Parts: sequence; C-alpha cells; structure tokens
Amino acid sequence: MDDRAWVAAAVGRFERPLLAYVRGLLNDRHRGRDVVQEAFLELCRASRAEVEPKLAPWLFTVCRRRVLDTLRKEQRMTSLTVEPPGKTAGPAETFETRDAAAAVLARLADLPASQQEAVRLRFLQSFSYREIAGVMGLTESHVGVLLHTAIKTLRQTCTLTPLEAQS
Amino acid sequence: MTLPEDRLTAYALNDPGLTADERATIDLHLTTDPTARQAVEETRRLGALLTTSLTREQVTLTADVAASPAKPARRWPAYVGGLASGIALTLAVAAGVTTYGIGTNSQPLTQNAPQAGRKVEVDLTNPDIALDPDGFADKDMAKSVPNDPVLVAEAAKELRTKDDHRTPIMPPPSSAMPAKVMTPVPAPLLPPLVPNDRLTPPAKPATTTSPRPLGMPPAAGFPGGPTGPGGFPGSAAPAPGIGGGMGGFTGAQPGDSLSANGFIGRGAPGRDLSPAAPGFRARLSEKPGEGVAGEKRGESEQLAKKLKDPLVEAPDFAEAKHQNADLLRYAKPAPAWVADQQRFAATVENRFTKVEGQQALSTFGVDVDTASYAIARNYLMNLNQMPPPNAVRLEEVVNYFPYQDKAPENDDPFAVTVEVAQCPWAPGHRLARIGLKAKPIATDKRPPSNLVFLIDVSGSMNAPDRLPLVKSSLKLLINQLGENDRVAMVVYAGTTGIVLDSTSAARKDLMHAALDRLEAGGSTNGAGGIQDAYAVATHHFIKGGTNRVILCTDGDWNVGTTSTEALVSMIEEKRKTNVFLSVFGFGMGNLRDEMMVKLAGKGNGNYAYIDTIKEANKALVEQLSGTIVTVAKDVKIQVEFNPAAVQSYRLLGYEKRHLNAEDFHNDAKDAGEMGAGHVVTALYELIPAGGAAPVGPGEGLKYQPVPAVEAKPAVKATEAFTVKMRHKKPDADVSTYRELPVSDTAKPYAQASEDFRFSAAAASYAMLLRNSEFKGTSTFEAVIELAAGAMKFDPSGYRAEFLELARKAKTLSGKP
Repeated sequence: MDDRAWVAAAVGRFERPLLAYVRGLLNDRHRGRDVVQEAFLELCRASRAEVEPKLAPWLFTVCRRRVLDTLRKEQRMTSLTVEPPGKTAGPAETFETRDAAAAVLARLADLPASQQEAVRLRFLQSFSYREIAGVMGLTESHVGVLLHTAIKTLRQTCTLTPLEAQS
Repeated sequence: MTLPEDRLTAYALNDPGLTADERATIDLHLTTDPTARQAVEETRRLGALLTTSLTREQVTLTADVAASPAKPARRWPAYVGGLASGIALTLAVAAGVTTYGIGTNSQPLTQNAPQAGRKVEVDLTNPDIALDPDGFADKDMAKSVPNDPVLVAEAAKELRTKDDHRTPIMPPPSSAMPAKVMTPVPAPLLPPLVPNDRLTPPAKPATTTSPRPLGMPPAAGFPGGPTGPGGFPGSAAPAPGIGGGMGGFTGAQPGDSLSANGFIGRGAPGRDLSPAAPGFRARLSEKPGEGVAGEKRGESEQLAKKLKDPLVEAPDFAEAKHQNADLLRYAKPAPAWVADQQRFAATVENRFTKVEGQQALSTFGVDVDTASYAIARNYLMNLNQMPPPNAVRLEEVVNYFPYQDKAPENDDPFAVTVEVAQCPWAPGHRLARIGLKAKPIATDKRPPSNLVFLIDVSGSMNAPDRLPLVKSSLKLLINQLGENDRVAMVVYAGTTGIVLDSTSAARKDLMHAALDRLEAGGSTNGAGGIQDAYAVATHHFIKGGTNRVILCTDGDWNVGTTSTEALVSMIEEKRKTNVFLSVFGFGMGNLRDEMMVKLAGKGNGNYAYIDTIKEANKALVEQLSGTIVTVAKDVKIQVEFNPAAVQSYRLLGYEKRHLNAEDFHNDAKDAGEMGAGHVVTALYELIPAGGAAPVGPGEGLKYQPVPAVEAKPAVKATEAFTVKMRHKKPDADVSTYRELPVSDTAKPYAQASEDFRFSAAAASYAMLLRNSEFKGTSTFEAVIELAAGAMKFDPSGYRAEFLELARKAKTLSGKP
C-alpha cells in the first residue's frame, strides 16, 4: 500500500473514533475537528515505518496532546464564539434513558475525567493497559487502578442480569 | 490468599499485560472463590455493555459534529452545485423533526426512565428480546429510522459528504432494542442512505411504502437508470431534488416514507443520473465476461461502483464539505475497478529447482482451501467459458476431493502418506504425492463451539446465489449443531450490528428466525463487521473449544478499510485472539477472490466458494468438523531432496503458501491450518538424477563457474527425499517436529494407488486450465482417462462431477 492509501485507510478507520474521543475531552466540536484533522496532517508528515506498528495509540496520543494545548491556550484567551447551549434532554433523550446503554453512559459521566478517558480507550478503542498508559502518559498500574475503580463503581450502580440466566 | 482486585479486573478484561503466571494464579484462585468469579463475569458483561453503549454514543457524537445544520444553511448559497444538497438537507432536517413528532405519538413512552442512582436492569441474555418474533427489523426499526433525528442528520451527512461513509455507522438506540443488540438489523435502515451507494435502491424505496423496502429483487428494467420520483435522467439540476423532497414532505404518509422520499428525490438526480453514466454503461458491456446471460446485475453493480468512483464524481466531490475530504482525496488510491472485476491475484507458478545446496529444501505451508475448484466450475458450467488462468490454483483443485489416506492412530493430529510413481504427463519424470490426513472427529464428538456468523447484507448480496444461498447454507450448518454449541450473528452493510448475540444452538428456532429476517441493501463495510464479529467471538470464548468467525460475503467491500493490506493486517492482529476464521465466498461478478484468499490465509482460516446448496452441504454438513474444528495449526512442510536420487524438483501449486527455508523452524511464521478429517495433498514433479535438466534462468551464464562434475554425495541414494513437518496444537505456540524419509521404488503409474492417480488427474486438469508451461503432454482427454480409472472411492459423486467438468473444459477450449 502506498503512503497515500495508507493515510486514507487511517482516516477511514480512525476519524470517527478520534472525533468521539476528542469530543469527550473538549466540549467544542469545531475545535475538536481541527484537532483531529491536525493529527492526520501530522500523520502525513510522520515517518510511516515508525508510526505504523502503533498507529492507533499514536493517533490518540497526538490528539490528546493537541487537546491539552488547546485547553492551555484557552485559559489565556476568551473564546468569542459561544458554543450553543447543550441540548436539553429532549424527547429523544428521555426515550433513550430507559435503555440500559444510556443508563450506563449516564453513570459513566459521573466518574472522574481520567477514569472516563481510560474507560473509553479501553472499551471503545480496545486498547490494552499498556497502550492506554502510553496515550495518557501514566504508568500501566495506574491505568489498572483507574479502570478497576471505574468498573467497580459502575458495577455497583448498574445491576446486570446474569449472562446464563436461562441455563 | 488475597488477590489484588485491580489485577482481577485486568484478567477479566483479558489484558495482554498480564503475565502467564498471573493468569494461572488467577485461574486457580477463581476455582475456589465464587465472589471473584462473579466479579469477573460482571466485569466482562459490563465491558460488553460499555463497548456497545460507547460505540453508539460515538455515532451520535460524530453525527452531531458532522451534520450541524447551521453550516449548510450558511454555505449553500455559495455553492451553486451544492444548492440541491443544501435544500435537501434543510428539508431533510425539517422532515426529520416533523416526523419525529409523529413517531413519538405513535410510540408513547410507557416505561419509566431510570432516575439517577437507581439500579438499572440490564438484560444481556434473553435472546427472545433480541429476536422479538415480530421482528423489530421489519416494523419497529423501519419506523424508528426516519423518526430519529440523529439518523436523519446522519443520512443528511451522507448526502453532503458522499464519500465519507467509511466507518461503521451505528444507528441510534431504538425502543425495541435491549442492550445486547448493538445495532438493529441494518438493512431496513438503509433506504435513506443508499442513494449514494448504489444505483439500485433509488428506484425501490422511493416508490414503495412497504416496511421491507429492500427485500425486493431489483426493479425490472433497472439497468436503465434510476427512476425515483423527481429523477430525470441526464439532469443534474437541483429542481428535481426539491420536487422529490417536497413531494415527500407534503405527502400524507406517516414519517418513514416521508423522509425517505425526501432523500431519494435529491439522491437520484444529484448523483445517479450523472451524464457520464450511459458512457460507462456502454463501455462496461464490452468488458469480456460481462455480456453473459445472468450477469446483467453484475454489470449494473459495476456501473454503480463506477459512479461512486472519485474520478466520476469529481465535480461533486469538490463540494464535499467535510474537513478531511481534501486530505482523503489527496490520499485516494487508484480506482480499483480499472483492474479485473473479479480480482484474481496473478500466480507465478513454481518452476523446477535444481537440487543443490540450500535449494535442496522446498518449504511451504499447508492449505485446505477449495474455493478455486468451485470458482472454475462456476465458470465452466454456468458461464460457459474457460475460467481466467489466475482463478485456478492447483492445490485447491487437488484438495477439493476426499481421499482415502489413512487417519492417524493414537494422539497425532495427522498422519502422512507418501507415494512416488511415474509422472503421467512427463515421460521420464517421477511424481511424488505427499498426503496429510488430519484426525477425523465425529460430528457428535466435536468440542463445544462458539461460532460467529459474519454476514454481508450489502446491496450486492441481493441476488439468488448470494444472500438467499447464505441463509440456506447457514441453516444447514445450524441444523448440525448441538446444545453445547453457541452461535452469534453479526451483519454488516453500510453499518454493522449484532442481530443475534451468542445463543445456545438448542434454540435453532431463534437462529432460523434471525436468518430469515436478513435483507440485503446498502454499501459494504466489511472491516467494521470483522471488528465486531471478533469482539463477540472473543467475548464468548470457549477455552478448549472451537472459536471461529464464519464470514459469508461476495467480498465486494466498498466502505471502510478496503485495501487488502489494511484488512490483512487487521486480521493478523485478530489472529492473536486464537479465534479462527472461515471465509465463504458467494456470487460471481465482483468476487474479491484475492482478498478472501489473503484473509483466510492470514486469519488462521479456510476459504471455500459456495455456488450451490450442494457445495454448502459439502463444506457445512459432510465436512463440518473439518470446516470448524482445527486440529493442527501452522502446519509446515519442508522436503529435503537427495541430490543422489533427484536432480530437480517442482512443487505443484501452493504458490500462495510459499515459505523460505528458514521460516520452517521459525514458530512465529504463520502457515496453514488443518481441520478435522481434512486431507492435504502436495504433489512434486521430480526429475531423477541423470535425467535431462530443464533449462533454467541461470543456465549458460557466461561468468558463472562451470559446475564441477557432480561429486556423488556420500549419502545413500536409496532415499529420494525426506519430508519434514512442523505443526502446532490449535492453542499452542510451540511447534512439534517430525520427519519421514522416502525412497523411490520405481513404481509405474499403473500400480500407483487410486488416490495418487486421481490427484495426478486433478493436477493435470488444473495445469490445462491455467495453460501452464509445465503441463507437458497433458490433455483433457488424458485427464478424463486417468480420472475415470480412479473412481472407486467417490462417496458424494465429486469425482464423477470432475469428469463432467473436464469434458466441458475440453469442449470449451476446443483442445483435446
């Protein structure tokens, strides 16, 4: 595969996951998209041989770094564009909340940011502890504690009916 | 003993960071601690739920990001060409909002929303919910699609950014879905999306208000171009779009058909009626092999594909508003359709190799694929033409047939038989047949299996020899399964989704119902499907059992990661999960044979092509154990020839499984798998020492030293060669070695075993189809004669069928 096709494949595969990930860190959709786009541009410039074996963690790490840059900058600036107020729970959300998925997401939202991030990287991106540690700049055991705490909390707030109830 | 709790979590999540020691300790601990077991179980279930929920949320988020209505509203006046999409979008969003109101009325909120802090019941198990017998796929989803603003926005985004549907698009949650159903059956979701993807659908959903919009066969006269409301051939003006949109909007129909019409109205003129279309169609029909009866459909699919191509849609593409579009366009690979639609990778046949130095070693991985034989048969019998040479892979032709090699006694996973006799197509040459017979396992003694059917339900599967055949084939398979087996079903088209979570095969009714509900429509995101299928397979992993993803597709993957390399590397990654892969190819016309070969090869799998229910019966009933139970993996064969007896050798086939000599001892190198009862046959054509040497590329070189007069090696010439083999147990990482010395007893052909003679006939036939330079004196007549003398063992009539194929090939080729 030539480099172009490689980048295209990466965009195809990771654009949405990255957008969602960035969105979880940065509540500004336009800047979120900029961040993701910049990450892909950085990918174009990066050495393929170096990046390819760890493409996914690499992209997430780049995005995270850029989000942090953005947030840091933001502290010194006042944003002129105002994000539209968050959607109030419309009928759609109400409709949704009776769904277990929405419920678990609501519980997730109550967790500390670092736990949420680790959970997203683990369960949405299927990253290993080591990869998450790489992206978040933590030790592997720290990630282990974050995930464990998050899961323990979630387990206690959501009752899961047994998997083999019928057998 | 106390266990660090966070390690237990890591264990439950199967983190690779856990050492084998830790794992073993926890395994042991779990046997005595029910609380810990429950914790692991709960963690895993929660993990699955989180993955589902987050994936769904991701869609909502990104759809939201991409389809902000403010942007097009601001921009559309600036884009003359984009006017239609701007208006359509506005209408679409409006329609979405309107119909949403209707939807809420018809689906009142009857259940309580959980309050914060309240315990939430999550049902991950009851398949009855997932498979609501009335079928959410038919009713609820058809309703909920257009009712949902997110999806409408998603669809609107699809309209605007055309080429942007590369990643799985998860539909939003629906009331009818329990948590376990990641995504509903996507087929009915697709009508609003398809206008971008296929030429077919516009004519269909636009004119139907049926809740099963995509279940129909292609509309009559369909290659003539889309004729949806507002669709005027040759017109790219926005007016029809408005007409279509308005028509839908003001119609008195309830929500679903409303927005569908709105979209179709725009979709048809904006894209499918590109003025370039007739030209392409004309050119298409001139393509060899496409003018054949019954291929009309394939032709239109190609047309649809071409319309999708960046070159064709370049003017449209320029207005794509997605920020990464430029990047993408810049990175777009060359249009793939330029190549042969069937995409058979070129095979360079093995040549004769002189037995000297390192070259005395011939190394390859075994292979149990049989697809090539069935593909060639389809060409000969159904299309009445000779198959393209590259579609014929000799080893797959030879391995298609059952042989009588004796099964291993004791615990060995396979037994080896070697026979050397005269070569029928080259006087003076010898032919060696190496037969590996894997241990057969009776169907009722199979270990429990965890199967995940990954089914392609994209638009291209909408043909009698595709999805309907997939369904009946899988039903055959399901009927073979017992209560210890589990089956899950994942479908993919433009979106992917689990239609049946892992369910005990005691509930065959549920499985049949799930299959019956599948319908074809939309584009194909194979990569997304593979991800999901492996996730399900891993989640329900049965230790010591069979864990396998069974992929049924025509291989025409046009969304997502479609480059073969990217998919292959993804599959290689998945291989580490110890989940095996079976690839079943269906249909002709856009079969991506090359990709399937690679997927099966790299994904620890096998590949069969299913063109008839009879073929399905072979792969899924007669050879069920072989197809799903792997008894040995990474089976490698290395043959060391004795220069005192053999001057040159040529391995027939197995080009795709070639290994370097040093790979033989490298356990990290992947090779082929053998299923229970499989027979792998390898043939070598040998030129005995002292025979006339073939002229190789290295012959007659001016600067090379003249080879010294052959010093006779001290090795005894009674041994012609030694077969060395390595294999691993299905779950092991270290290989076992064994070897078998073979001598040539100068057996004439007539005294060779039936298996030997039949495999020689099959090889000769394959060389003729390939028009191989090594075919020697082979003729179809000789093939028929050789095979006819080796018909005693023919349990299912495959050899008899072979004779017919050879006769047909003889007629078609006009050669003896």
